[in-house]
Amino acid sequence: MRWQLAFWRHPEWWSLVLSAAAWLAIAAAALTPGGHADHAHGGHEAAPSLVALNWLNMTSAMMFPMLIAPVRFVAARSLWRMRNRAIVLFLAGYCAVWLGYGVAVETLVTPQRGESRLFLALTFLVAAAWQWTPLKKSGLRRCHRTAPLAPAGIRASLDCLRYGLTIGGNCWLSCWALMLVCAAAGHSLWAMIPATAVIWMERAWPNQLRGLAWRLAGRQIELAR
Amino acid sequence: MQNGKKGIRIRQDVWKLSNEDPWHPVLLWYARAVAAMQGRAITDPTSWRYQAAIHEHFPANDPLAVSGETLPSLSEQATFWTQCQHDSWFFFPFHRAYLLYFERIVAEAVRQLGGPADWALPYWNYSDATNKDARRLPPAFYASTLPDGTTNPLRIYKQTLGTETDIPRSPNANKGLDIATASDVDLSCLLKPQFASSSIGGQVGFGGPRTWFNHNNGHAGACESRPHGTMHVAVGGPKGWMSSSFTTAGLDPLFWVHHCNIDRLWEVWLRRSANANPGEPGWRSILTMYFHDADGKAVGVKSEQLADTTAPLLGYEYEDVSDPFPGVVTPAAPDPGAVPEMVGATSAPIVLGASRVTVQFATTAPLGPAAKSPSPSVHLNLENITAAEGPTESYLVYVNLPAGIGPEDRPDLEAGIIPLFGVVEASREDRGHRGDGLHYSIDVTSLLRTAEWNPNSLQVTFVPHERPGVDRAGVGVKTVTVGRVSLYYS
Ligand SMILES: [Cu+2]
Repeated sequence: MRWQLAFWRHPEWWSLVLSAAAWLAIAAAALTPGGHADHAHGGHEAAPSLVALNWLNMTSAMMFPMLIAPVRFVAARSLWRMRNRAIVLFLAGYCAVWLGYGVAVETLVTPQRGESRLFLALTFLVAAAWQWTPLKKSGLRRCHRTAPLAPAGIRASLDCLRYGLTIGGNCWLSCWALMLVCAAAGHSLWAMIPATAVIWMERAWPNQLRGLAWRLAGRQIELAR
Repeated sequence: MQNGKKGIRIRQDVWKLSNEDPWHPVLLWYARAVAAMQGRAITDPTSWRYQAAIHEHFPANDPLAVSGETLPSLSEQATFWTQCQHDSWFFFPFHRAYLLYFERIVAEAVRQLGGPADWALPYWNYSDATNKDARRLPPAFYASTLPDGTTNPLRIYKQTLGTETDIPRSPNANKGLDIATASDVDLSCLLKPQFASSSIGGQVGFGGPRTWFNHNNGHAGACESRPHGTMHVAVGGPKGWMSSSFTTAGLDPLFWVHHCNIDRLWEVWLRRSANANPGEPGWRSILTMYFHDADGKAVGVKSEQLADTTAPLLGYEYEDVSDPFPGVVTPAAPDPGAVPEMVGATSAPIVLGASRVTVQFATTAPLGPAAKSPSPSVHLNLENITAAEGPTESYLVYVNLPAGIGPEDRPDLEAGIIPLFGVVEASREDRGHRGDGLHYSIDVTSLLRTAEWNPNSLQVTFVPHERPGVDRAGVGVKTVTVGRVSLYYS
């Protein structure tokens, strides 16, 4: 009974379980020599299913904990029996944005980089510079924007899906460059942990973080050498 | 002038002072200090414009902006400007600290001008049922001149460029006529048993929803809606500084006596039965709010330091914190962990204009934890209320008002009011606003307990709120869109 109440109060619980599982998978890959995280280092193209899996893992690991507010929002704005369905549709819309971006990145950008560590450093620079742009700030502000959702019928489902796409789009605007860094680093745990820290911090201290972004970028370039 | 405990300033009732003498020393020294502060450059933290910018600064909306003027550095602006906390449980502590440091700056200006050492901000109790003038401005706020014949800065803003403009207010305000209705000054927020509420709505507390630093996103608390929001809009009218924009609100000297009353209501609420401030660290100590003291030095404060007005840091008391509802028992506080459950909603946006609008939607019985509650509370949720441009006006909300029956014939069906303070800014994605509009929750538990309600459907009627002296058509009031209306059990 107490457990049930906790689940009711925290409808986002299973999205956090998925996030934890994704982190475990990424960590396991990072700690296993020749694991899948190193797939792109040979310069050859990864299989599309692997690309999708990597991006899905990365999205759920890094982003699902950032979605607690919108996930709680879709649950609370839906009829009781539709709460979980609303969350599934919202997350599907959200992940679709990142999967689309992931496929584009891995087919257009990553194969060009070859063995160059400079490419990785370059993505760090782009990410740090992006932190300063008004568009980035706008995306961050809109990350938790709410929208009216229809209560029932197909319109309710479409609204949840559309809301996922909208939040995914805002989130992409805010974080595309950071995710590019992670992809350029071969979905490495050691890129994703600092990137996640940045995403957490910029929510709490958006102004203070921009200065830090430059310092972090400099440090990453040093590490890349 | 003040007779409190040693070292404690007394914040007095502005109408009582005014009835003693329209230019009571507290008001006269306020006016002189305001003039002094208006003469300071915006880069000076103790200047009038800097103090208003703490609430919000948006250059395009600043009626006093001078092109090419020097502003504080961007990092200073990021720390001290556009900080006001709305739709949040930080609404009360933020505004208490904001008022405190403003009061110290004014008091210092009063001292420098040769006034008394114990000047304290007066409060405007517009809900005072014993005062027939309660809903009018005290004359000192609309007189054209001070007793010595100089311009009255409580009415007229003397711009730095030397040109003079009237402070835009509701048409009746500067005529000394009523500006608000009884509904605007209703104090039923004091009957809320809990301070905090869910950030998603479906319930409402006296103080506001549990949030992180929140400029203006989400649901308003009960007192923040009414009388705070309603009186902002009543003073400003459709176009005035205090109503139309967070940026200009603090430029009107009335803003401070209005907020002083809101701060007093927090004290009144705390004295009622078992009411208490939140105990969670998320409210007490996580957020530090930054201001400048009278000497221009930066200071940081947390909510927990602001709970006791007689503590050395604050050092004030109110002349009157008596309960306007003596003998009325506050209902038992709901379970703070209660899960609000939506049982029905509209499925298309509702456009509100100059005439009455009614919507109807299907509702069901709750299926989740609220179904097990012996006496669930029922709330109307008004979500994503936006307006592309102003001026806008407020709406009264009625439930199950029969068609063909005038709202004035069934005041018992009035659920509440949506004041729409700051709606245009909340609809614009910028300066800490995420752009999804305003949100209100209105408790309709007792209203729906009547036999008239068929629990399978609900009718909600929006009635344009007519305030005295306001010509809606004449000022071209614009439409407002309500994203969704829903019903919640919790
Ligand atoms: Cu206010």
